[in-house]
Amino acid sequence: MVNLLPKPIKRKIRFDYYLRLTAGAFFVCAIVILMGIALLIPSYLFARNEAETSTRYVASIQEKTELQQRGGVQASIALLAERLKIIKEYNRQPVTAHILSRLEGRLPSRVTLQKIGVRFTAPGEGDILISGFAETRNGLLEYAQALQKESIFAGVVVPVSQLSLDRDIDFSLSFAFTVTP
Amino acid sequence: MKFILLALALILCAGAALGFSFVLGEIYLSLSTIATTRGQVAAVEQQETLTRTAQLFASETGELQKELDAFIAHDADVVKAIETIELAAQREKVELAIASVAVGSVGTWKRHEPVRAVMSAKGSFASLAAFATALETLPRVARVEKFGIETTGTEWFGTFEVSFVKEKITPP
Repeated sequence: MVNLLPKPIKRKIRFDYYLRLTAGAFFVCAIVILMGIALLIPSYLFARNEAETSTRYVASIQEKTELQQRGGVQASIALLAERLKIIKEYNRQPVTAHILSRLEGRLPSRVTLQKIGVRFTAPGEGDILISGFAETRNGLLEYAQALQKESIFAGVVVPVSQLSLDRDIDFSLSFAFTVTP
Repeated sequence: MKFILLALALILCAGAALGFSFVLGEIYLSLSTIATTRGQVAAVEQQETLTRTAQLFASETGELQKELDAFIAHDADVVKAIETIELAAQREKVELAIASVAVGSVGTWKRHEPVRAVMSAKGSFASLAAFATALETLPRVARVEKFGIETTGTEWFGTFEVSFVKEKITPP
């Protein structure tokens, strides 16, 4: 079969054919996409509704929880926690009588105490500063040795400067104490 | 006419594509919102559970907390705490003079503050020792920070620094 139409007419017909084919393809494509939209609409509505519901739910439980917290529960728990921490910090066994009895009980007859200073640094721990009068050097050394034997005292040393005199010594000793419950 | 048809088809197709991407975008946004809120719900529900547990704990330990509260001074109790010290001095036969009472601060405490009382006392060695022990065993959350006693011959004089805990008037 031979096409007898002249060439320009043939070209025009081909052009028209492709034009219509393209337009048809676009229409089909648009219809397919519109069908896709139609199929997605239920999912879209459901997802939007679900998102709104969950947002409202979060807002409501947040408000409820904040109200409960404002009700003072948190504050009372924080108060209790701080109190327990403080009580732990302040929990000290009474040690003063123990320390004073050791300091006085070990005194030789020729030594007298005139001043006792106690500073607590931790539960059962601290520093002691004592000063007094010793009739003899031996008496002072005897007292220092007696204190050294006490397990609660540490670092009892008579300064060399206080040993220069043989008699009538005004002494001062500084040492640490640790009393374990 | 031929081109109008093509243009219409093109516009329709483009519009449909835009509409499709809009719907897809909206679905994606909604899904993201749901995912985010689910995370938030889990966190808030956990918080709510903790709050409920705390409420339960607070209600069950209410009586114990009241007992504990008696050991902590309040603004109205400061005088009472000082009176307790004075009573201890009377009991131990010590002449007491309170030199100062001052409220301090501790960096880590938010709801409480220490009250430091400095006092001087006069009596025998034994009575001052007993008074020091009485200060150590006050029916309060209190402690002796330091003390010093000295004698002039017949009598002993002492200075004591005691700190006890007071609840703040305006907690944070």
